[in-house]
Amino acid sequence: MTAYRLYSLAALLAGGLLAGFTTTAADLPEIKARGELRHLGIRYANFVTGTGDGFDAELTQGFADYLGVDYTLVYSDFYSVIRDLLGKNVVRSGDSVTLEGDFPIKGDMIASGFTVLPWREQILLYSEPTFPSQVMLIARADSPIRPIQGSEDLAKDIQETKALIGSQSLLVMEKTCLDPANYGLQGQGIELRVYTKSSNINEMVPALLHLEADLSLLDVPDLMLDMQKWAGTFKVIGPISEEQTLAAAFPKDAPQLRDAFNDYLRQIKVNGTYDRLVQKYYPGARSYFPAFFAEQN
Amino acid sequence: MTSWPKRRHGWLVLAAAAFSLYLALLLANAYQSNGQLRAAAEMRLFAEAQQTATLMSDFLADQESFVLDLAEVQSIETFLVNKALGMSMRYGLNANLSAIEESFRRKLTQKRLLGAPVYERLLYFDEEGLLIVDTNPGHPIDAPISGHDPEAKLIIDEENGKILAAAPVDYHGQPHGTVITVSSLDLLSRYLTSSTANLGFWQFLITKTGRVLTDDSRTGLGGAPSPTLAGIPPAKLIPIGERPKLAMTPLAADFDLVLRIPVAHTELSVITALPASLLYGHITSQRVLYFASSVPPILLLSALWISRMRQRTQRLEADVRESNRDRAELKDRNDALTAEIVRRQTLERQLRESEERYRMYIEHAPEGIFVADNLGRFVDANPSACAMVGYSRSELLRMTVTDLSPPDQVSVYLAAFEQILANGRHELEITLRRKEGHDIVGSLRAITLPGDFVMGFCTDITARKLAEEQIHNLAYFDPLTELPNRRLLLDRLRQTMVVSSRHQEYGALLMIDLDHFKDLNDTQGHDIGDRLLTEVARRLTASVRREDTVARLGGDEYVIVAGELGTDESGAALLAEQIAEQIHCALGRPYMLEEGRLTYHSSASVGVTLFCGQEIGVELLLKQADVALYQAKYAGRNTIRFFNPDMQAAIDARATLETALRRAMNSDELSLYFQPQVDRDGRVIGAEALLRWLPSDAEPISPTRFIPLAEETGLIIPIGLWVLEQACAQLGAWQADASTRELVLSINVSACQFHQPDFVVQVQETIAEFGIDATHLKLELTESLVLDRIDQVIARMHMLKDLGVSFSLDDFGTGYSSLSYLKRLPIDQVKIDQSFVRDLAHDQNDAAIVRAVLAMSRSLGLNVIAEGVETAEQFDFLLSHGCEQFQGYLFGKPAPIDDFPAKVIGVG
Repeated sequence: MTAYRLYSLAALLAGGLLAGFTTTAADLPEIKARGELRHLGIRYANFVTGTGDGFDAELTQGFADYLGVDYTLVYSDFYSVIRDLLGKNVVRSGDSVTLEGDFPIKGDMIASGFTVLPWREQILLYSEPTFPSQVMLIARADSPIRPIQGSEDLAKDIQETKALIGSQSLLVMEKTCLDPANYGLQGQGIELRVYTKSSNINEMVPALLHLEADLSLLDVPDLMLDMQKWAGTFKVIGPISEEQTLAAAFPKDAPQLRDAFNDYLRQIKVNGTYDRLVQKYYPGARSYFPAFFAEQN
Repeated sequence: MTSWPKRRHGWLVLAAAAFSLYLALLLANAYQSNGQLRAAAEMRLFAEAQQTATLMSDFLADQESFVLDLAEVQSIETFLVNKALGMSMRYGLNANLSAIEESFRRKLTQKRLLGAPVYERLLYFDEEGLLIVDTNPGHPIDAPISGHDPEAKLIIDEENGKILAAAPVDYHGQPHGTVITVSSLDLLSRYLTSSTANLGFWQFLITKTGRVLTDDSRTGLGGAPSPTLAGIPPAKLIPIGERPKLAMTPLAADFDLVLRIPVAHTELSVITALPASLLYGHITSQRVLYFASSVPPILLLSALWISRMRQRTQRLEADVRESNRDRAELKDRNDALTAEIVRRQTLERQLRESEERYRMYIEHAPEGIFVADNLGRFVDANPSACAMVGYSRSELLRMTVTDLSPPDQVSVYLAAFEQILANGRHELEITLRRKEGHDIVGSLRAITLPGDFVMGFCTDITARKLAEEQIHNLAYFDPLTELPNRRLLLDRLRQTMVVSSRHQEYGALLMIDLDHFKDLNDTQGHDIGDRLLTEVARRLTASVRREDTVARLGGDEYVIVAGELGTDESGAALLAEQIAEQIHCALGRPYMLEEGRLTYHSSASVGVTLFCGQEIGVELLLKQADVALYQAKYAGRNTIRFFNPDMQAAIDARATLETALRRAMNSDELSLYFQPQVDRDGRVIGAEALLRWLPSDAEPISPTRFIPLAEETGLIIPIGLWVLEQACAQLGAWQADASTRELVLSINVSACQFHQPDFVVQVQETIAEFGIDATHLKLELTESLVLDRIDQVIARMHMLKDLGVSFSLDDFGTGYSSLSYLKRLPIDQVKIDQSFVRDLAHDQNDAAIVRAVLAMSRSLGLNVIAEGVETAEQFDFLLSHGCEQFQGYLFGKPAPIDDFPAKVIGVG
């Protein structure tokens, strides 16, 4: 186990050094000198919408104003967003993550309902949490699986939910928060069906309804919108993950930019701007995640 | 004026009579009106109180209606749908409850009464009476409500001062809880006219037990029920004094009358108490009426006197105003006159200065400027004009415009002159005959001047026209036979095919090759060979129709294009055969090539192919004729062969090539090779990126094979974009390295790609994507590309130049080579085509073209690069004639980037 960890660390250091030599991400002084902050956004739920607004779009726009620079939204997707930030391709093998190749850097930061995951933390700097989330198991309304009743013990509920999957096919999306590798679903005899027709998580429910699989993973921010949009066509079986946090992500060599973002985040939580954004884009989120928002306040 | 006293007297009598009558009527009606006023006041009071009760009733009905709507909101239905699917409250349904709460909160803010929210709280109990949605959570519910009520109802909670409205939630016919709204009872007091202290009356609300729900400070009941108030007969005005129990209440101290109006559909009533004096007012006495009737005559008399005084004042004021207006008008006119004089003086001065300026300009203008009257007689000319035509100014002023014309151009002059007069302006190129008799060509721009004069601005372009003509002839005609060369042949063939397409007529392409010509050349020398070629050209021209084209492709190969052979294929084939036979016979006759020598006998092989329309391309048609010629040769020479459709196999091979090219694009078989470009000292200054097709399982395929195919099939668009991206990526790599930062990379852009509507945007985005300095990117355009839609091309070139991109005109010399076009194009560089460079040392014609191109480019300030430089001899020739940049095998073959010499050599 120790040898394996050392190997992973060596691979990570090698990837990091390579990244340092071949590409240089912009930190705060460079962005201020350039006069422009490039926001990497992914069309996802109400975080970044197709029309260019959204919770994270407004949040980052405010950050650009706070820095006194111009704001540019650069669309990306979950498969390419880290490559667009670091100029390197991400290769995961088990718990180890390596960066390979040279690609153009298209943005300075990611803010798009981006889940904080351990493997991502190996290669990115995260801000303080910007939003809560959780991943659920859903099924079509006509599925014979009955939703769990739910208890005070989340770990038990997750176990009960996973047990219900059985041998049925499960729709997942890799490299996103719906990646089965994040939740120990691989190698469990589950028929995993990777959704590749789109890199947009918003399409998971329509894909489930089009019989792409028997079951699907779905994150709570999408769930809150989809339960209104597709009411009566699918049901929530139970939780697959613990409560997660979403945050803005920065290159490892942009600590000043990350710190400036945290200062900005604290400021808007004090002056009420943050609450206004939550109310505007996720009006029900406060009731769904009371503990998270109590902590923010 | 004399009749005025009489008329005034008459008016006064009439007015006195009218007012007497008026007073009599007034007094008679006074008593009757008094009674009617009392009744009207009571009715108005009754109506106002009734309106207040109705408004309250409507308000409460609105609450019932609102709660019923609330029970049917979409978010509740969504919750129930999901609940029916068995979802747990903890995972899933809580999202719906959040949505219900959010929609309740929106409703709370929407419903307002006089600026204040109507509802304090909205609640949703499930069917088991459990509170699951509350817009004010964490606060106790002290009202008597529960989630079990099966029907909608309205409750007046007297104890807590609340109005509660409840409605059951129904889903698929089953009860699923209750929605309840809570609002304050105080809202009802807003409908009461309660600012009573100032108005003198008082309104309040009571229940069926007589408990006062609103301000009861004057009843003295202290919130206790009062049967006395409850017992007041409804909708009837009651004097308090007539009811002993009422007379004993504190109400009797301030009020005389009381009215109770029930609120419909409720057990509430509105009580209005008021003093009688407020309702009826004071009774008017007769003495006051009599006194009042004497006031109108006094007022009338006063009015008459004031009116007269006013008329006098008005007349006086009018006189004063008239006098002031006359004076102001006089002053304005005087000011305007002074301003006009100043303006005219200024204008005259400006006019004089302007005339002097223009005179100076005309005298010193480099252009020749002529001015003539409407009969064409010269009335002025500047020194440049006199120098241009060789006449003095005094001589010119005795001449007319046609005196400068060569005799055969007089009608052209007159027509142009008429056109200038008719249109006001005209531009043309015109031939002028100088005094000593030489003709020159001028570019004339003429305009009409006021007074029917014509002014012409003329520039001598004789030298430019001669250069153009020379280049044109060199480019389009074979100097030996004076027949059209391959370039002109292709143009004529395209035109013939267009005409053929329009009339659906067949045409024929004949390819002729002299048998054993090489033997003659080798044994008798090139002079004799050239004589034979010239004679063959003469015989061919004599054998065909005037409208047919005879061209020499090179060597002993000739081509004839014959159009208009009819719409019937077999008939056309017959005619083509006749033409071929005539040619065959004509060329078969003996030749006298040199005096005193024996005649020479030659024969020819002829390949014929038919065409109709533009179904197949020009190159393919030539290929078909070539194939037919090959067949004729193969059949033993001295014969005629038509193109055999069986040879379609060759065309099929082309289709196969197209399929392979499409596959090649997706399997990374295309790659870029880079050929260095060097300066006079041989230092690498850049490269041309050249596309190569390297199939993994076959030999490399020549660009001359697949690029025309890509252009025909449109594949050149994605390929061109790929080339642009690869080139920008390479430039990015070079610019990251100090030793290669200054290298310039040229790429070829096809016409098809350049004319794409989004081409400029594509270039801009690609440059931005790779973050390169665009001043090191050069686009090579062909002459044919820029001459097609030239205005659009120039506009696009300017847009690209704004990005920093530069342009090179590729294959220069093979097209029109027009100086006038070159001057308009924003190009930076001219590239001499390798076909001219190849035979530079041996072909005087090519050498002349190269010299002309270099001289012309130098005069236009353009940089020149020669491509295809393979020998030191070619390099020396180009160097000695001023060429600055070079490309060719002498300096390096096209090679993959890893073999590019810049890696090793670098740049200075």
